[in-house]
Amino acid sequence: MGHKKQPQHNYLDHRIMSTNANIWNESLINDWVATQRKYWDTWSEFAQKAGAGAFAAGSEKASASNPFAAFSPTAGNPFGQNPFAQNPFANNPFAGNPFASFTAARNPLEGALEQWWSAIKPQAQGEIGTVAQRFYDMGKSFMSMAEGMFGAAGQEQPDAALNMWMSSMQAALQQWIAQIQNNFDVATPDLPGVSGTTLSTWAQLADSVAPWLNMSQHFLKEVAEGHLPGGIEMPGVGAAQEQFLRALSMPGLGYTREQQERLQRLARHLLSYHDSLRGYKLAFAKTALASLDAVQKRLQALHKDGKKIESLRGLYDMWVDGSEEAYAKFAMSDEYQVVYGDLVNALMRVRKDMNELVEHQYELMNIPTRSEVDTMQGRQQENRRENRQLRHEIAQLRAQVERLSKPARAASAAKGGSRTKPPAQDSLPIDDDTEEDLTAIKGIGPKMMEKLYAQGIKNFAKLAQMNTDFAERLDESLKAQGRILRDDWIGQAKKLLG
Amino acid sequence: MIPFQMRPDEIVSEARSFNEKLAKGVGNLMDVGDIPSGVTPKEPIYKEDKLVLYRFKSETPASNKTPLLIVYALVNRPYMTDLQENRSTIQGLLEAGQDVYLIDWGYPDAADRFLTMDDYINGYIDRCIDVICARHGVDKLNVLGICQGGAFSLCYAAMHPEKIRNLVTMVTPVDYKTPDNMLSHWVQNIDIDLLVDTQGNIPGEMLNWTFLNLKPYQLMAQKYLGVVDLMDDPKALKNFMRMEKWIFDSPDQAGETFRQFIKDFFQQNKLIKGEVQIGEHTVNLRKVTMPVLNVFAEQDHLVPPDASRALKKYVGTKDYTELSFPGGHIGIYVSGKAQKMVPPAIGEWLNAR
Repeated sequence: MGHKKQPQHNYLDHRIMSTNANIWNESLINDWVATQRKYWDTWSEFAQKAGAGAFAAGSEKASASNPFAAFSPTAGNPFGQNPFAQNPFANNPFAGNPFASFTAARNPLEGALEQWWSAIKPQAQGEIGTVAQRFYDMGKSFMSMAEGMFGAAGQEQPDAALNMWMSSMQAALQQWIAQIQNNFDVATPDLPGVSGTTLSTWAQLADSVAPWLNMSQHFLKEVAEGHLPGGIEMPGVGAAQEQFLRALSMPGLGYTREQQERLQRLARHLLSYHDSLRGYKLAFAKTALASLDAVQKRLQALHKDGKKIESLRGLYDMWVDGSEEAYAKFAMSDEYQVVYGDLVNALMRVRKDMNELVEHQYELMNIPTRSEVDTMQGRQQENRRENRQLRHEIAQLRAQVERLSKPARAASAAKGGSRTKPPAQDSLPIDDDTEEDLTAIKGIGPKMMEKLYAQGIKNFAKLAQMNTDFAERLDESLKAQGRILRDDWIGQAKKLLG
Repeated sequence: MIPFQMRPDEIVSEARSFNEKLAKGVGNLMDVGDIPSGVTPKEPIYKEDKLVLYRFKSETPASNKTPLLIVYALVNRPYMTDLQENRSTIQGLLEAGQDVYLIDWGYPDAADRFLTMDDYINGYIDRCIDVICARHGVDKLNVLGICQGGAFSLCYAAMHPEKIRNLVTMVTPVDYKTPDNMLSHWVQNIDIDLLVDTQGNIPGEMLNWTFLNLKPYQLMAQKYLGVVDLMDDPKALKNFMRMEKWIFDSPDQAGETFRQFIKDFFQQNKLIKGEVQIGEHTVNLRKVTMPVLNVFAEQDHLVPPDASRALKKYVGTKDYTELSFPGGHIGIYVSGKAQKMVPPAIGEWLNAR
């Protein structure tokens, strides 16, 4: 490839080593930051070189697909392009990330990764654009893992590098869990140095429920940060929450009572949503830890078999398999069923309350509401159903009338062809109009009984009198789908008559 | 001891090579061009609301005089059965002598939220069957139901056995509570009434998200990593894109249909209990008395094989056959192996009956 020798070895000399990888301390962060810096320095150099080589054209056109354009001296100002504008993670509703401010102050290169990926990201719209986005996300994740490994590779032994990398992730996860437990879970960790790998995948999985349910990101962010609609500030846990809940349960007074009650209900549901989300994320965070274990086990098994991981791809695949295994176990657990259902239900309750609030406003403005439209659509669908049914029945009746209006032809046909069946009887011999409850017969419901009554069949005796031909024709005109014979109404009627 | 053996320079070298491939591949992605929704020529036969009934054109007249209607799921789009040349279940069925019709459900919108399973099955499907029967002057036809469409076909066959000559179910869930059914496991604690009352139709994206989350690491990340190696081959990339387009082409599901399908089928497993009520009918699988061919995929992560295999226990027919395919829920339609195995076997089974 002709790239220049990587200067990473010098970097080892002044690298600050974390002595205790189990604690997410400042020196560890500095460590990662330094690693990132070195890594991206390396990349930038390569990028410039590649920009002048492989993508030498340097024309406006070429730079559109040139992933290194942003770093190329011939390209425009790389900072002119807001890296967050296209950042798929910028929509993260849990923006109040405690790490974000912590790292931003210390990491002058924060965003370099974004910058680079923004540059590589194709500008396509539509199908291609969405697929490109997925490649982009995957590549970012893969490169981020490479970055992590590269950073940790400063260790004397490569295996120790991986160990350190995993320990740091474990520490970060434990910290995340502690945050959630302390109700400080407004942030999904954008863990320095390891973003985009398995950790943030878990975090994204935990987060992705929100867009799934079509909630507005902004709204969720507000909720997650404790700001409720109407200027209500949501306190944290414990006594304060209890008091707050009590306040929310106080009956509303006077003429705005209903509206007050709606708001109280919404606030209660928001609190319960907040709790459900916490439970859901906690379960995810714990499972992410389990996935690290699963990966460890795979590594041990490899070691036992005397096999080695000699490529990033091999490491990535093993990582995916281990994580998927832990995830599958989690996803099939009773715990997941509960936290998942609780979260969806809690979110739906909030959404329902919001809909009601909006509808109330609409009513005040004399604007039609969703409920009204629903009622109309429901009725319309009912009418369409009936209409179809009636048209079908009319067509059948027409056909029947047509058959009946040609008795002469039928009779002569019967005379001519000796094999033709004798004309079926058109009415039942006994003439009794006593009404009996025909629903005693299996297969006859109230609607069917009505239809039978309309045909003059009002009691068991009449049913019992039917012959097969009559039953078949009756079945056709009632659109009973063969039920009369299949369910043996005649036999059942006979039985009931004793 | 961790068996990781990579020096920093090796890491950089692999990362660089990966990035180069990806960068070139993303360039190729822009040149993929339009991707058709299905490749076999077809003509619309009947339209109603958003539904279109198609008949596929064949170069040779069908040897089987009984037409075959494919009932696809309301999830995703039916062109999965006709994705690309040489990877088309439809093509395979035509070659096996079938006269193939297919219901394209279209994209329901908010105005369709009150479409019930009764509307779909005793309405749309029934009328499509009448149209085909009238065209061919027959009383009965063959039906092939796919996934949720298979469940609909089973219900139809139980309610109108006189109109179906042979029934083929493909990757069709019958027992919704087998222990390995992840989707079913997830929905048990969801208040479906609250969900449907609040959401109306169920957004396709939400369904899609759910399916991808059955195997998130493989389906949302690893898959794309694998493709990076073939992105320099425009043809391979285009074929990859056909599948991508299909996966993310997900119509919304009519709210009332979703309500009944999830509550009665997934949550209460009423189909095998004979308790599903559709319109005026109670669905009893014992009434499925015509010959049945049940086709399922051994590595199906959406509809576990046991969920399909259960049909044997509950169906009323004496002529029941199983076809087990060594692949997945989608592979059964699009893999090279499937082309050689599945449509010819279905055709042969139908032709013999």
